[in-house]
Amino acid sequence: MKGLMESIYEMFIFRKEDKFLNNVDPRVKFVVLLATAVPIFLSFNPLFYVFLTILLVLQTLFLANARRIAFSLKGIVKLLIMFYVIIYVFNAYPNLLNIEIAAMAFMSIFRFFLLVYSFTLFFTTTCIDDLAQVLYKLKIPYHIAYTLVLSVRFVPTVAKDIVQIYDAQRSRGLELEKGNIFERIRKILPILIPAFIISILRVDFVAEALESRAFGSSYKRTFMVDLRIKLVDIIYAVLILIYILAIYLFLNTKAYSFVLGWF
Amino acid sequence: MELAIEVRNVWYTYPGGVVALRNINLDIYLGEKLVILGSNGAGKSTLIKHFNGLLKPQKGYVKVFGVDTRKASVAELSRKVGIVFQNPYHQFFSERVWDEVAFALKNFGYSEDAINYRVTKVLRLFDLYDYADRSPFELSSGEMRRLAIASILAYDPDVIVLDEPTVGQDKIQKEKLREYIKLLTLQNKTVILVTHDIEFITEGFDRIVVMAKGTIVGEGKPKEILYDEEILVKANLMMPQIPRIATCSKLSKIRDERPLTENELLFLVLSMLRGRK
Repeated sequence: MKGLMESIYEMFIFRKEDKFLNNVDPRVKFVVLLATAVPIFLSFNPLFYVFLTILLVLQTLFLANARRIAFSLKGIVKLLIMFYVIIYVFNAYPNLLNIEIAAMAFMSIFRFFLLVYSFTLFFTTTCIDDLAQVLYKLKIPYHIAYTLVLSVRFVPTVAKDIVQIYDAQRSRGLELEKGNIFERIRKILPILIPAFIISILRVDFVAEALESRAFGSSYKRTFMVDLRIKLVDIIYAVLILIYILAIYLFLNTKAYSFVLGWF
Repeated sequence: MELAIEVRNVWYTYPGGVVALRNINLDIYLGEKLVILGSNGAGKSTLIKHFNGLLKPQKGYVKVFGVDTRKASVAELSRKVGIVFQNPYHQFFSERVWDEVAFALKNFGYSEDAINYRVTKVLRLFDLYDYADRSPFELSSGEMRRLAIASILAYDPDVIVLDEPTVGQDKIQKEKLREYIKLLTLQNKTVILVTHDIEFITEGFDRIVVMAKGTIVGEGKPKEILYDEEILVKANLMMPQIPRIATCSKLSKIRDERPLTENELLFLVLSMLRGRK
């Protein structure tokens, strides 16, 4: 649990780093995120996922902090394995040796992984305040945009709280890894209850803090630093879009059938 | 004196790449009242998490009563080293104060009679017995802090680590905390106080360890450390009021004495006025 929470914490934290993606305009990254994430829902072709993985890995290696992203993704591996087992068992039961369902379950998990991967790439390289500005410029009312952004902003805070709660309870002899599955589920309560209480209390604090600074008194909003798209940002977005379009065309035209036949 | 905790050449880096501890060496003895002092981000909390195995050293080793923390579980080590965390909200989950104190005892497998005896004893000790059936979340912040300490003391660990216990506490609460620490040392417990509240530690502690940027920058008796401006500056800390008065007025140089409390300073001034050493 601690590893998972630490990964989630890293996944949603932006740090100013001298990496290309950290300095790309957030609107451009938002478009790239949509261009990457939407086809994951629409396509069912395994080859498409392979090409998309190559794209994400190349961006991670050359344009972002690969070590941080690898750490973030490493933490969810156990979760993915658990999901895989659940999907497989629910679909294959009572015939638990079914290769087709095993492949289907793998594809579902891989799609989920790619979604998490693309969102991780976005959130680790995008300042959350800039995201609020992006949404506002997309004509979303600021109080709604800010609420959305705030919900993302508090993910790492809650993850950090859970790590601290977990440490505090382990220090009082709580051993999550001992006992059968029911005992283990019951043992999660001393971690979940303080996490809920802290989150509820925090909602109250945040609401008071926002109100005391006149949040919502005006619907028009200005920003101290205005976002500016650079030429290099546009080139980056265009290259990504061309790549995704090329994959789509390749997989949906005769070229794909020709290559397939060739092999 | 028996060695309680032995820290040797310990290094620790967080997954994000932040080096929190750099070659830490420290011996802590049974019955000692030790302060780990340092500003935010100095590595204090990371160090204490090594004492009950919540974190394992990446280089070097930590031994608790001779047991290497890398080879023992957190539950085993926690019976010897109890950590009271900074925020009580991070540990409370029970419906009643009584259950909150009994939680650790149940985890460690104590019998029902032993749990009843220990919970009653520790709640009386911390003036919380009247609140036994209340929810922990109905208590005041001072009472919550006491409950957090009580829930650790209930299982009687030999070493008690208090992480920033003075944060958000008024003067009366701080004085009460000082009394509890005295009480613990009377029972030959080792008390480790982690803080950056430099005024609080001027009285009642045997040794101070000063940390900055993951290293130990100074170690010694309170009268040595709290008068050493060089060490305090390294740790981003200000000299406490009484040493500052004694240093600025050159009192400590004239009589070669180092007062830490108001009474000690007053005694020094009066003795100088009377012209006797």
